[in-house]
Amino acid sequence: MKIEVDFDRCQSNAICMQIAPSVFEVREDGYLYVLIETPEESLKPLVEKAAASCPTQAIKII
Amino acid sequence: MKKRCAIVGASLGGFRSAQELRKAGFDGEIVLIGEESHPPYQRPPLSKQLLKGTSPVERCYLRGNISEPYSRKLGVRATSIDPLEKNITLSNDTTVEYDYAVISTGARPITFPKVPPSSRVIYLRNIEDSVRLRDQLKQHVRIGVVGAGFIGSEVAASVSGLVKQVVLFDGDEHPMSKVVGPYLSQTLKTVHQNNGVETVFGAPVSIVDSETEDVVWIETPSQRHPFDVVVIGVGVKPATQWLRSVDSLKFDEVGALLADDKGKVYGAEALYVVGDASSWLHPLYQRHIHVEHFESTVNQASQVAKNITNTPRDAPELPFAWTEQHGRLIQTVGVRMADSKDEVIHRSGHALVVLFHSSDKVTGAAVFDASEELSWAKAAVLSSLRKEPD
Repeated sequence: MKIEVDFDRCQSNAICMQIAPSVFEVREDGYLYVLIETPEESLKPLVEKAAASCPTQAIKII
Repeated sequence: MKKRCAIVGASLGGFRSAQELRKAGFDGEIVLIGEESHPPYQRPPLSKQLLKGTSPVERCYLRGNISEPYSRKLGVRATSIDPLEKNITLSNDTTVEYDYAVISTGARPITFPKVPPSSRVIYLRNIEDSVRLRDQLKQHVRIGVVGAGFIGSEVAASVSGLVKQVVLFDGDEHPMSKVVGPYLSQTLKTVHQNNGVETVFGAPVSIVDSETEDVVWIETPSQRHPFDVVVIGVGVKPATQWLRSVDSLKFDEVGALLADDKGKVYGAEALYVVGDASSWLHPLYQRHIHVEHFESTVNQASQVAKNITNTPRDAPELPFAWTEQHGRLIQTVGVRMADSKDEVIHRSGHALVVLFHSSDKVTGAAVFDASEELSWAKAAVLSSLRKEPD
């Protein structure tokens, strides 16, 4: 599992951070940082939920 | 001899096409032509974060670089194209020859007759428009917004609380009703009113901007309102006028350039179109669809790059759009047809999904403040569109 974020699409709503804080972080500078680009399988349900819930659909799992 | 791809329009569609071409392995020359002098930027923040002052201009600029051989011609406009000779003439009287060309000239705001843009009448489209409006947001200022589509409705929401008064006008009864349907539209109207936006709907509007007066008037048949600044968002028109002299090209009723389901323009070799200027044949709807949203433009750029480089392309995606107003999120997938019968579905908790039915299909859906329901809505639309007729 690899996470791909379209950083133009991302509007830093930080929904992903609320759902999977160990993977996504929106910092003080207003930008999203992906903390783990290839998370382990146990995180898959959370990452999938974060991707599905993204308001701008900026997160893809490949 | 390396091939050259000329891209006309240096905003989202153009810049993304260039990026996607490189991603798909195109190693020829890329020439990006754009009339604005800014680096390529995206527009969603112009009616939201940039306007509210929560994001700087730089945050609008698109990320990433294009590798060489790559050149930009900014501050010049394409004035004509010759698809047989494969060249494009620019406003500085130079010519660019191409092997492939991508049109991504976007759209221009529809203007009121006799109401030109000025320091106090703003047709919001570019960074400059947004900054000019932002710089006038003061506590004593009264703002009138004409047109309650995406742009007008977002502007009204963004400036409420930052100014003395904001009034949203539209000839329809509710905001964004063509896109989200009457039910969500009514909900959105209430959200506006609860957040300090006054609404004057269902009446034709005229604008009087006279140099001899300190204010701009917005008039309906029964009322007359004075404003310090007026923002107009009554829709856009594809910026395709410069292509009209080419007889072989075809346009839809709003002036969008028609293309097949891979973005190849009808009636020309090696010519492609993406974004607001385009109307692509959509395989799931089996008709041409003109979409003016970020997501479609990005997908189209990827499809065109794959088409040019003969790379296998992805399955067709549904149009997707989102808007945030007063902290409320509306997402739409697919299309709401003019004859849509809307079905309101209360999902778990407060989640609200509206399915748009037309000709025995679910052609689209809107999700109100419940992004976790989007996948469900999308699946409902996709399965209906893919279903064979009985």
